[in-house]
Amino acid sequence: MSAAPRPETSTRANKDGAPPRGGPARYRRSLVLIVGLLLVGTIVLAAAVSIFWLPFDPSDTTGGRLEGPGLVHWLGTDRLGRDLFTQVMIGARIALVVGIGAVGVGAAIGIPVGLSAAFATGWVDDTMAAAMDILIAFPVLLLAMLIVAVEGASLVTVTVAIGLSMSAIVARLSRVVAKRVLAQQYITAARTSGTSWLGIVRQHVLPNIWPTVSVNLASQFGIAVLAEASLSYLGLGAPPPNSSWGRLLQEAQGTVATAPLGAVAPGIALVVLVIGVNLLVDGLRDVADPTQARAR
Amino acid sequence: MSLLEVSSLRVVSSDGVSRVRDVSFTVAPGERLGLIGESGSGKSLTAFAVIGLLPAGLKATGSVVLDGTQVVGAPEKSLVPIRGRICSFIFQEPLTALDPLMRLGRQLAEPIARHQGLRGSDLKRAVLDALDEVHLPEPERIANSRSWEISGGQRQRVAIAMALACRPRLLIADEPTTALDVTVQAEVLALLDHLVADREMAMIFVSHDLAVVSRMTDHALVMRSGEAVEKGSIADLLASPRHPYTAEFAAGARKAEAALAAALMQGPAE
Repeated sequence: MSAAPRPETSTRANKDGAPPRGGPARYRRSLVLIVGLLLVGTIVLAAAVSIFWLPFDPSDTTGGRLEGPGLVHWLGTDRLGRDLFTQVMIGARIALVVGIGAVGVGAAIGIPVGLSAAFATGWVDDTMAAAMDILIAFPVLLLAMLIVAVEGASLVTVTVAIGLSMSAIVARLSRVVAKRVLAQQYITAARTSGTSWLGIVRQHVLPNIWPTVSVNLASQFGIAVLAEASLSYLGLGAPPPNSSWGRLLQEAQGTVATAPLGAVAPGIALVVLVIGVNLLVDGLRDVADPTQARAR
Repeated sequence: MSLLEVSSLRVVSSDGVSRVRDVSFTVAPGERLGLIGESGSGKSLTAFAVIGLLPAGLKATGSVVLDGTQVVGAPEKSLVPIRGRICSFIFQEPLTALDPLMRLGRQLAEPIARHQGLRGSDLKRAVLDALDEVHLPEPERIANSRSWEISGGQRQRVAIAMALACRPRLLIADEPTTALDVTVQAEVLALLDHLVADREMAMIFVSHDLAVVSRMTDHALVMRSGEAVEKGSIADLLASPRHPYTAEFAAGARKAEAALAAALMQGPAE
């Protein structure tokens, strides 16, 4: 990830023995970034490994029902005798794919819409702003449920539904930030030198809104992962062969008293990913904007 | 034929207030004209109206003919090819006039590539040449820097290089040295003077400082609250101002010059 240079700079500052520039607050920030990277990294690693290797075949039911954790089944088995660790690893893959896909859909729709709204003036501008506010007033989950209910549950539908629901938030942010960039004198300067509007968007507006928008997209990723888990828990997520964390939670609900690990394991995985992403976003916020870094 | 012909130009804000009233002047190829006035006199708005880039909410009426093209009321599409190529702009504050996130070399490469159709290593050489032309030391380093990583004088030189990249026939300089300290100011003025003369460009030099304008141009238009109050050669404006406002301005300029001369006689003060 683009965050890679940050831990390096902080370790260098520590090696010198001098307190890092900016004092304890800056130190805390890079610590937050490292912890976030570690948490997200764990989940990403699990998802990556699951592509090439799994402890058991996900449909292997020979493990015995609701076994406790042991040397063979590290986290035990579910009520169908499937290996729980395998399921959680596959769940990591689904969470990441849906999260990234949803953020991609949200950005692909939200940023262009927000940019066009930024150029609009008068009643067109007011109407677009009002439309975005109304869409944002709908909770992401509710809107996604509506779309899934109409389109039927599948991995793609869930991804698109969550992405569509978040695109309004991305659009509103892009609009505000782009309006601020468009008011800058370097935009006027670019226009005096004969740069077309398209060139200005490509060269000046997009790069200058990106630090703010990308941080927002990263935090939207956490929301998307939670939304996917919630939809799956409600039975509106990816259908059965896909062992999403939300569905694992739902399946373990009946046996939570006798085999709590079935619910605890996917629950912890979900918490690790979401908290990890939020910490990462917190840390990235400072790195992403060089103009802010200069102010420190 | 004049390169620029402004007649009865008015700039009106959306609430009906006239910010510029009935301003007319012409600039022939290679000619230099000063636009003098205090802040709010409408001199910058006049300059922006020439290139069809008034701030939102302001509207120009009258006539501005730039190299045969009517600018007032023209659609954006027909103005884009004129900007940069026929007429370009230098701003007061180069820090805000340069994109903070884009390396200066890339920023400068954009108009050069568009105008001369260069790519790859040819483009890179043209960018370094352009930086060299405005007497920037270490063009390689400047090209790889961002605007906030170099000094104010260097920034303005980069901005000048950008403005000249498309070989315009008219350069509009809007208080180009006001944000710079005095010694840097003198260097930048000398550079501008030399470049404009070298390329036989016409120039409109906008400033509130008569002393600065007198170094760059022979003729000036004095503006006050949106109106052109007097026009003539700088020598005449200084020696025998017809309008009391010009007299005030000339007196101010003389006072500043005298103070500067006195300071120079005494050597570096403090």
